[in-house]
Amino acid sequence: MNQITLNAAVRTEQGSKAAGRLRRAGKIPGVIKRMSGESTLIELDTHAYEMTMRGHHGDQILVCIDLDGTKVSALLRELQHDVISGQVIHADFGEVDMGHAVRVEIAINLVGIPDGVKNANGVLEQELRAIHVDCLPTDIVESFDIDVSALKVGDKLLASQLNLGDKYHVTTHKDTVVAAVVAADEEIEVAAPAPAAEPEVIGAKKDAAAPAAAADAKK
Amino acid sequence: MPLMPKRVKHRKVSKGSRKGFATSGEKLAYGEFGIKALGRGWVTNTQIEACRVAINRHMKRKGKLWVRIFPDKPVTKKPIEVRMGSGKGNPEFWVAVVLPGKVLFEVGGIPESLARACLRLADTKLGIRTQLVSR
Repeated sequence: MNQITLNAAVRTEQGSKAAGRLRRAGKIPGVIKRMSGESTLIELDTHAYEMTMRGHHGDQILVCIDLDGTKVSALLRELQHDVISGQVIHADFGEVDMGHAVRVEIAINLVGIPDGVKNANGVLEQELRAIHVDCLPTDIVESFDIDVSALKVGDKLLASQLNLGDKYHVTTHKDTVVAAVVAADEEIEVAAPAPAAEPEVIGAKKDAAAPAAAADAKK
Repeated sequence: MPLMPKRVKHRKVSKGSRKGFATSGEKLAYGEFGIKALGRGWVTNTQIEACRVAINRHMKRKGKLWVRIFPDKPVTKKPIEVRMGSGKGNPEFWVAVVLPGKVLFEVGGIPESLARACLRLADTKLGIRTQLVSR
């Protein structure tokens, strides 16, 4: 995987108001968590960031941050998005040592049409979208392609059944379901609306609740 | 049976606040496509049920639907031609309080064109603006 280079600058201002000013000026506030335990506050150009990251869909991507001339190898740990527009509002990087294994979350991409979907009208459910693995930073990929074409209705693919190669050590629990083929939902016919029964009131005495409802009905 | 809680702490509650944005349930969690609220408001149990039926019928047993909201708030009404006063009215229906950014419905296991058609049907049955979201 080619390493992505991002240009960044050290920022001195911190806090939500300063971060808001940065965003209005077309910058993304971010942070690099250093291996020494310290944090470096940075700012990235929004347009340059979007152009660089276009086409990269991994949850955690290895990047080289050019921080005012100093190169830092870091892992994109977390991105915060605006809840409505979806724009990036904060980027969280973690510095990595290229010789040591790191724990990362890598997306799972299901490949193929399961037998149960093709022949038995089942529905493929992807229960796990990303898997936790320990690997060297250079071995980080954007996603794992998992073939599910052999799954029949009722079959499940567990995390322990994934064959990711020797480079990756899966740390997700082995019994976690990655994908399953289930029978399609039966449509529940809507009967005539039943009289609106009231739910049980927690802590109310049964004989006291009935007169209250009756008194309301009289009003 | 209408969509409503089995047990509640109080039969009647205040109108409450609709301020702010959704801080939970704002991302797709189960399916590949969904609709996200852009506006704020109350979505009634009958609206949710109408959306569910419309989506399921349009999918024709091909995919799976997840309803991400639940009407847990009772709304009261006074009977018609009743003078003001004499206490709060009777619980009439149930609503889910929806803030901007909330994912309302999710579908999975179907192609995008079908998902768009299904979720458009649901959109027309809701009283708030929505947007289609995908992974």
